[in-house]
Amino acid sequence: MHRIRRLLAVVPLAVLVLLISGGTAWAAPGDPPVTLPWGNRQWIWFIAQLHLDLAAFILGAPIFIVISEIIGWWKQDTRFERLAREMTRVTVMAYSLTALFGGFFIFLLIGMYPKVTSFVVELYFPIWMMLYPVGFIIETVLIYTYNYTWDRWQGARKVWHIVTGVLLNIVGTLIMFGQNAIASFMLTPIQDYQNASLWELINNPTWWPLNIHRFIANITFGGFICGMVAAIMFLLAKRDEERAFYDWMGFIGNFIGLFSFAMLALPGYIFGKEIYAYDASLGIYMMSDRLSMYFEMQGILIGTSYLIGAYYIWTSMRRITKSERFAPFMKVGFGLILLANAIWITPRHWFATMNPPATVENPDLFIRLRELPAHLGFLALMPAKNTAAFASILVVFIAYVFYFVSIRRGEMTWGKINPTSQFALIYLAFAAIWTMGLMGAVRELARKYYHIYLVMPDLTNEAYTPTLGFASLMITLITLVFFALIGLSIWLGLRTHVAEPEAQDVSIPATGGSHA
Amino acid sequence: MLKSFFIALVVASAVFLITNFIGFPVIFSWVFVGFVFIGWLFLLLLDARPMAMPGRPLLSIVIFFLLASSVLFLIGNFVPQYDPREEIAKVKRLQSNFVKKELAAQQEALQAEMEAAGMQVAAAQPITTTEEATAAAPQAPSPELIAAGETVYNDFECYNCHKIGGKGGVKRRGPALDNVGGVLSADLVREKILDPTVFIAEGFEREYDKGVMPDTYSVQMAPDSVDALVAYLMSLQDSSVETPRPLDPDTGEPLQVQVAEAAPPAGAAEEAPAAAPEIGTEHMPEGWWTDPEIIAKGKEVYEGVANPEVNCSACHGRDGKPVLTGAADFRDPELVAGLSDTEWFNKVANGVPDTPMTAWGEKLTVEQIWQVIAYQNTFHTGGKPEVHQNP
Ligand code: HEC
Ligand code: HEC
Repeated sequence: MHRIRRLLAVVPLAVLVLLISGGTAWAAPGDPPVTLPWGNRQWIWFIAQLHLDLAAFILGAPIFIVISEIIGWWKQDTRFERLAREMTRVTVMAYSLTALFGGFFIFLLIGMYPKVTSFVVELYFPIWMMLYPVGFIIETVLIYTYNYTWDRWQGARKVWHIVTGVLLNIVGTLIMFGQNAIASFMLTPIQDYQNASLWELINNPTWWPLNIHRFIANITFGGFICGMVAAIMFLLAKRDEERAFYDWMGFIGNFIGLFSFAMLALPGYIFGKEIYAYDASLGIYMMSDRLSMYFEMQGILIGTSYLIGAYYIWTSMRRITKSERFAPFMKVGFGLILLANAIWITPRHWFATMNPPATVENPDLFIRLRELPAHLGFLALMPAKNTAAFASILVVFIAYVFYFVSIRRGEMTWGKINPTSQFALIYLAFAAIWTMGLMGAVRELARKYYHIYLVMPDLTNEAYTPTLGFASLMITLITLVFFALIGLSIWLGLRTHVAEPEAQDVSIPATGGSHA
Repeated sequence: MLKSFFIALVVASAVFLITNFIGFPVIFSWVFVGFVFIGWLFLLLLDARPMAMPGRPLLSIVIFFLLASSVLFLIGNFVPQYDPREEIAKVKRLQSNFVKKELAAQQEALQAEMEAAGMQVAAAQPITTTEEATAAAPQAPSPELIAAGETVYNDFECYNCHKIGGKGGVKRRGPALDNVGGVLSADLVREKILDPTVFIAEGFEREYDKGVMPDTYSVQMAPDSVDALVAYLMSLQDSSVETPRPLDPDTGEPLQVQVAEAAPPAGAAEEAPAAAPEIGTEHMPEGWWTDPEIIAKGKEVYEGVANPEVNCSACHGRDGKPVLTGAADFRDPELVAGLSDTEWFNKVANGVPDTPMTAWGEKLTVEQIWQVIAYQNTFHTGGKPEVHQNP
């Protein structure tokens, strides 16, 4: 198992070498691009999203890893130190996988979409060929340094370790911002791109909205994944101290996840507004036309996430003595979340396009049976949706207030919790990844029949917008493979450490009893 | 549990009746009923006795993943969908629009270059010919053209903001177009599509100022798509629906519009053979060597756009640099100089025996062969049209 771990560590290096050699390939975009059996679009979709999911994880996790390392150091709380330590182990494994899929992604781009790729590379040359590779090397050095110096840089040198962690986050975020420039350009390119400076290209209308949205979403995601890692370890744990620790870790991960999740609504809204302002027909395509049911799905996912998140708080409270008096209020809260979600997912009409399909014989009847009448139309508009979102956020917030009030008065033991709570944690991570896959698809599909909106049409036969049914299949597959990979990372990063006590980097001096 | 189920049932029935009474269509009421039962299940879960630790944690985690996946997958398939075949057909139509757009742009550039070089633009017939055609011979547009225009209207999603026959964007984003043929001239409609700033639709001053109507169609639509769209819009003359008048953006005064009595012809660009009626197989028709439209058509043939079964660029290369070893290299001026018109024609029509160069005469018309030759003749000059000197 050490061998696998070492093997994975070599991956980023290998990818870099391949990248540089592959970089020459784009210079000569071949005319007949490669076509792969399952369809080029499916391949690029699958690999790109997988890479993105992993990248979100390795960017998001370190943010709160460092924060909890700092808290642990400040308050001398060994649990925070251990949480940070363990999540780092998982992150390092996932880092190699991210690089692996990133390399794969670039090869597919060069092979299957040489024209777009070379266009973008030329336009963003300094980012692609300088910032990205250099950033990638620095990030790799930092993350391995951060991981391997953990035990050595304790005590007086702890500060240096924390500084390394902070740098790791800064570099990672910069890399993401660089790539966001390209991703957002493809959706909202500035009109006069030929004469634009690099900065103008980068700072296109949706760059900042995307940056902020992704930054916060990565924290959410890191939190939920942390909760899931904890939940899995909790369920697999054999001893009470283990269970106590992982129970606590799940609580922290979920707390960070839900908290930043609630903050996501606003940047998401701003992102959408910017798209409308850039070109209303893009926004309409997303919210009212072909992609409208994708947003139904998003509503369902977010609604269930609030519901299950609140359920987790509920189970956390039930083990606190004397917390019963909050139970009725909590139940009302659940009712409110459900009501809010019912409003949230009420669409203008229950069909997937702006107009009834051409094949419908009696369009008037079709509409009458499926569309909100005028006096109820307000339910489909933004004010209603915003109120619903706000209500859900408020309920979760109040639930946490109840929790912290009860914990002051009552007593509780970490590790004694209804195991369903752990499945709630797993669901939250699962829904987060599914939602990312869904919104990733939306962001790509919103460009309609363009590789780069209005600049480069997509002339392949696969340029059409797939149905949500098909997208669901893709997203589900991607999500499952992602979790298989995270499972692998957990196993390599944590389970093998538990199983092999001789590995010298296991003993964390500060952790005390839990590893004894 | 039974008792709570009955309570849920009562609540659900009440929700169903009330929402129906308020005016929700049934499908919405059913969704609300669904929510009631989800709520009921959730209450059961809240009050359920704590579960025992799962005996086989790994297995139960995997099962949980699969379960969650299946549920999301099913929901994704359960909500309404559209027919992907229609989407694919639409993409095919848009492909040809984009290719034509690209060709038109190239042709324009070519023409500009030639004019800049002081060359006579022989028989210049730009694809955007409607204005000229309108002036030349007013005739009613064909029903096919109008139908094609309706497809363009739908493919480019004008319905998102405009209504025709009451159908289209629910929110009042833009004016109803039912009587657009009655209040606007064909030229104004065309101008508005290509540049929304040309006039204000009365009553939509705010939207005009915010730039709601996209200014991107001039980049997106091929000339013949615009022609068809204009023909379709001009055919809409239902005066029972109010379509706003055009206002001058500078003065705010109504624009003077000569509303065409006979709807203007739009399809002039469809088939416009540019020159010489008599076309033989010995010589390039008069003027074709340098005619940008002929060259543009030749490019379509050369690149397999005109007929997918014939794609010269697959062997001779898109830019003339052979892709297939052994294929003739038309960037070589000597090779071109060595071919007479007749030889050139014969080799394309009848092929070169025992080589991959097959006889394309069966798949191309005589005109197309001359067109592709005219295009091939531009490789050795770096893209400049030039009269071939070996007749
Ligand atoms: C995002 C919304 C939007 C889309 C999409 C849109 N329009 Fe418009 N359109 C408007 C608005 C708003 C106005 C009125 C304000 C103005 O004059 O600019 C308008 C005005 C017009 C007018 C002038 C009507 C009159 O009576 O003066 C025409 C014609 C028109 N649009 C045609 C089209 C066509 C054709 C398409 C599709 C290719 C299209 N529009 C797509 C928003 C839109
Ligand atoms: C399957 C590959 C292939 C395709 C497709 C193809 N060619 Fe060729 N072509 C060749 C090869 C190989 C030769 C050289 C034959 C020889 O050895 O003389 C050739 C030779 C020619 C020649 C003769 C040059 C000379 O020096 O005599 C002409 C003219 C020509 N091609 C035109 C065309 C045109 C026009 C098209 C499209 C309609 C076309 N070719 C499509 C492979 C192809």
